[in-house]
Amino acid sequence: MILLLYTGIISSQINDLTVPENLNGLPFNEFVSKVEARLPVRFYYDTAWTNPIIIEYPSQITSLTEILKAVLQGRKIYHYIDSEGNIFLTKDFPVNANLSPGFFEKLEISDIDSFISNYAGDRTLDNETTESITDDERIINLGQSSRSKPSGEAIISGYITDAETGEAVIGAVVYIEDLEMGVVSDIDGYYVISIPQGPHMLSFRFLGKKEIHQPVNLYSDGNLNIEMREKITQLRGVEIVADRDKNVAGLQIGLAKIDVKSIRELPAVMGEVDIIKAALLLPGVQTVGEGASGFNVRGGSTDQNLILINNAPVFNSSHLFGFFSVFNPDVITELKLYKSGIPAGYGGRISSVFDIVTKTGNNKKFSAVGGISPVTGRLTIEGPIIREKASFIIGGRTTYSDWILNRLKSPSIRNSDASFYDLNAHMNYNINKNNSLDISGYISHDYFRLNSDTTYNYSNRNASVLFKHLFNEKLIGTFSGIYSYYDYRIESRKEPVYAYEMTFGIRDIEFKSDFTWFLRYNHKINFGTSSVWYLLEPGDFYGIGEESIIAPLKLESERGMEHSIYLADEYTISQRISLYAGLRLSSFFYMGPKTVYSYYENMARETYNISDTTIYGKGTVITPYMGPEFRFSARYQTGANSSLKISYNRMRQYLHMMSNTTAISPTDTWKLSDPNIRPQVGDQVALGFYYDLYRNSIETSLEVYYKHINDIIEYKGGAELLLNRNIETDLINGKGQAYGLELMVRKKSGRLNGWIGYTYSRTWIRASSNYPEERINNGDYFPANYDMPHDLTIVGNYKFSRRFSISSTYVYNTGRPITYPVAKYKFRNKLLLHYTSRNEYRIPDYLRWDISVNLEANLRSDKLAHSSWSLSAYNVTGRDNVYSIYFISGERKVSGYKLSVFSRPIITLTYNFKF
Amino acid sequence: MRRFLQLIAFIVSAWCLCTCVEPFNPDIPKYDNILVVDGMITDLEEPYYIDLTRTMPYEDIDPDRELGAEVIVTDDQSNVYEFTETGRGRYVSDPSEFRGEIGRNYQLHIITSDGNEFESEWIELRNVPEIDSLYWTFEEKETNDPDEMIQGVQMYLSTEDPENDTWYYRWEWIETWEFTTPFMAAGRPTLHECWKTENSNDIEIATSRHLSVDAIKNHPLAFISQKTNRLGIMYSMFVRQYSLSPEAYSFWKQLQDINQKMGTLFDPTPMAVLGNIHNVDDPDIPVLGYFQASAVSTRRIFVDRSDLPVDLVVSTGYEYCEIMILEDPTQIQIDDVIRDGWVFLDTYTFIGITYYRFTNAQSCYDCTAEGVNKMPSWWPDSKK
Repeated sequence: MILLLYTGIISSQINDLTVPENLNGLPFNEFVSKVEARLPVRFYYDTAWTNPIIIEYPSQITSLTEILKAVLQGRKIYHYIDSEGNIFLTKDFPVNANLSPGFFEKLEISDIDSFISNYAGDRTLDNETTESITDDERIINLGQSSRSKPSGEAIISGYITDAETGEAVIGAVVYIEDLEMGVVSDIDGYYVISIPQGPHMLSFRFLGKKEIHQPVNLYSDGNLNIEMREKITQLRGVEIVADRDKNVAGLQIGLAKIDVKSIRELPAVMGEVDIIKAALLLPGVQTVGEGASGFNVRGGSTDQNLILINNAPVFNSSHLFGFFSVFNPDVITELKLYKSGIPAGYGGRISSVFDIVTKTGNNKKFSAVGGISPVTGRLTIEGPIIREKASFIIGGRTTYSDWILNRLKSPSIRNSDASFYDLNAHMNYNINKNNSLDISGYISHDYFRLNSDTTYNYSNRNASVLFKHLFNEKLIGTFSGIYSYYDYRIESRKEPVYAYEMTFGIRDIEFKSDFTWFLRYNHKINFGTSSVWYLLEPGDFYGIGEESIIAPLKLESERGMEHSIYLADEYTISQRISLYAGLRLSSFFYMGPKTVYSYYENMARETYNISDTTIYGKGTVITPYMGPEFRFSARYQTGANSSLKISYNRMRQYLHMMSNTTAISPTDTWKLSDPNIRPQVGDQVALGFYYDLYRNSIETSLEVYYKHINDIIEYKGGAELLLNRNIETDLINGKGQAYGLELMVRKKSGRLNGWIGYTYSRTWIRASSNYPEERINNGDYFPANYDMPHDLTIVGNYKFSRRFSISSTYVYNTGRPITYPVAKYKFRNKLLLHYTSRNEYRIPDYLRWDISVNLEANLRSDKLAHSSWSLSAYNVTGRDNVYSIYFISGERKVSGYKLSVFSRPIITLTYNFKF
Repeated sequence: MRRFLQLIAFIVSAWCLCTCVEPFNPDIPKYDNILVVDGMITDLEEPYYIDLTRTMPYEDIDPDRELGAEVIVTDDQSNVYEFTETGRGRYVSDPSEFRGEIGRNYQLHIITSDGNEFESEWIELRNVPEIDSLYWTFEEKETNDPDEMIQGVQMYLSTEDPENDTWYYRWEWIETWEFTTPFMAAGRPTLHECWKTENSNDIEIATSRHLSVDAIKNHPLAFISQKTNRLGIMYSMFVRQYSLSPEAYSFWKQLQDINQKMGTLFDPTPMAVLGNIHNVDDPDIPVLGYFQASAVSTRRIFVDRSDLPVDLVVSTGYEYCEIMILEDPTQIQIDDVIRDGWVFLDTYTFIGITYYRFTNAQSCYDCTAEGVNKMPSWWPDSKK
């Protein structure tokens, strides 16, 4: 009785709310928006229950509670208004709306379970009895009032898994609607959030999964595991950027998340779903040309991107010299691209972090996914090792034909063979509630034989072991061991006298520990350590066969250690302001044994200016480098739907790729920082304004950035980067600066969804020195190869019906810079060209339009199989986009040519089958 | 279990992953006018040439010459050799006064008529080994059309320096071949058979630096295609082999890379290739070209039509030639024909009828339009 009275007092003011106008005849949803607009209340309900409802009540009633009662009567829908003005609708059972924690304290009831079951009839969960939730049915009482803490706060934690496969749902948003705050589940689907005790409305959201709204009454710390179901009948829209609500509410700036499922809807080249090509549709991500390997993020070179697959770095992200990415979309769940505001836990590359996470296998039953595209065949198998505890997933992909090459005109390419494969394996073991283990491995391999002679083999091999331990609900630690290896081998046997082989290898071994400490619901600390050992075999060149007269040449191996510690504090000061401040201290040690050349100071760095040669012994530190890396982000909520964010970060890079060609190639070499090559240091400041319109259905964002890079690497004319003992003599120290503005308008839901992104950006490089041979363009700033100021991307998906949709992408960007000859001259009876000012001209603008039509054959969810068709047309208009313009000095004249890669539409039909 | 089984993906049409190359000549408004020095001294008793020209805009064909310059070469024994201007920017040494010596260092000095002074770095005249062998094989090459092959003669060269002192090589060659016109004008038989000579204009260099011996084996030189008239009767190639310093090799390599090897997906960024000559007063004024010094070894080779497959079809270069014969034409008829562009070839009488022969171009009977009708002195007589 006291209980009821108590609630009565609290909610009395709310009950007195009157609806000023007659809202009869409106659909329920409109009624809700009208009421929310006029009164200080907010509704929480499932529209499925209320869709058919038309508001009808006697016009003399004006009290909101009375109206609701009248409207919902007989529909088995009940409402509950809390003291904050939150109105919860429930179906099939009334809310026992009196579970205020303070009240229970007074009652001192020890057996809360029986109490609850008597009064509320709900399921109760506490620390010991964890229950899994699959749907939003009823209020859950979490924890025990007896354990309630004086702070008035309690922790909810748990795992979010896929109801079908038991796989962790990574990146699901757990959102406390009444507090307007939320967290995201981590790599194991784990989430933890600390919030005030009392009734809350939790929602669990993940792309392609049915959203769960879960009313919770929180007494003390409790576990809430959630199983999410797939939304089968809905054709997925194109979801590529940050999560819903994250746009304004999240602290992150310059983060893009890409969901692999949504990439499948986009038109793809030759039916090959490609996560890197999809990332190129985001503002701030560019490439020097179609079919070029690698990508440039906000004016950074390709080697400044840290590409991680399950934490292990990938050194070459392309198959077939850049036409396809090495990542099999079937085994990838999610990828995140940090363009700025890079968390302190990441380090080692200046421009971006491209973090790819593979799926964990189904721990309930075996299943297989396979496919054939015009380029590859794929098969992925997954299943339990120990039911509900341990699972595996193995996915492979391989080419089965050389038909692409055989269609090319040039005889040297026509007579070439190419093949590639990649293999992913991931084992996940949930040892118990507090410990889990992930082991994953990855191999990609490419084989290319040019003109029936020179063969190229290159491969990535990665393995990582990740152990996660929950010390308690507030402290989580992950410990990982990572091995990453990239190598290539070039071999030629056509001419026995010159038969040779050349090998290159780079090895990266890492040990990392990362801790997350949830101090309070609004305060989180991350800290950790990282140690990387690098071993480079920069080149071993030798003859093969008895006739070969090749003189063996082996460059000394290079060794280095990179040790870092970091600490970062994320603090939500108020609903309006949150801060992230992090510091990463990174150090690098260039290690012996190694012969190091010193050069005379105040002289051009040339082999004839070597002043000294020092031989360092094994294990000696040749050069140490050390420096702090600051990471700072802040968010200020300027209004209910808008926020302003700012970030600054400094990054240091000790490993560099040497490439003086426009597009990087798989046989580029890598180099560690040494006494002659300083680490690259990049600073970036970014500012963003975010505004959501129409109840978050349209997100807009405006980000500006300025980036400065010190000790960027440039190359002298005719630089020899392979098998060069004195590679530093061919390098030039440069500076880079980049700035830009990225504008994005995105509609996330509805029949028509998609986005428009526009970027204006400039990237400048400067190489100045006292010596003419170390200067480029007289030491002035010149545009980088990937400086493409205007970039417009329009991505749209329109659903004609639930079965039929059309997607389209439109891409425009300014042509990349190119160097034209400034003069022609005659020398030794030959016409030659003279080039000076680098990148003074541009190739014609790039413009491409792709369309794909997706048709779902059957939508009945009880049917065993679902099939769908996808017809995709790449470069519909057949525009001859120029890749490069070049000049060849022929017999008696110099001719200019333009080269384009995909000059005609490529149409592919894909049939998908779903079990 | 709900998973996607991507079962099939097939192509309705994937015409082509066309790496398409098309001619493209952009408008290049900018032009730098720079002095170009092309000079070489050898160990042979011959006149050495220093050619001074200027760079030209991209569209132009013929360069401006640098006239009225003062050109001298000095050596490490303080000898001074003057070069005499012979016109068209060419400056020539006197072979009786100046012959390069192996092992000696030389420097080039130029004072242009506008008073700018240039000089080269000191360069050593390095020795070069003999050409061990120059040989050819009959080969077939593929073309961009998979159904079409081109046949021809591939030249190869091998050389070896037993002293292991050369390591970097460069070659130039001169081709000479005999050809005949399709028609012989009666009374003018000397215009029927000619010889044509052309200088190579490809950059041909090689290094043995990565080998265990200083040897160049089976290095492919030119491919003489059936699509020219070179292989019709007899063909000869005269190869000059030079040695290069490492710096000179690097210079040539860069020229080759940015002028001959572009057009791949992995093109280098083109950059200025500057040689070993600089402006004395202002090092920032660029000079193009190179002052070279090298000993020379030479070799000549002949390819006779009879050594080639009988069924080899060699282009005559006269595929355009036509002949027209008029029987007892009137002067009006002759005038008409000539007005239509026909060229009178000759006339002869056979069984009482006078025939007038015309052809569509003078070059169809006059080989001196293309070559010279004097047989070179070294041309083998066996053919005659």
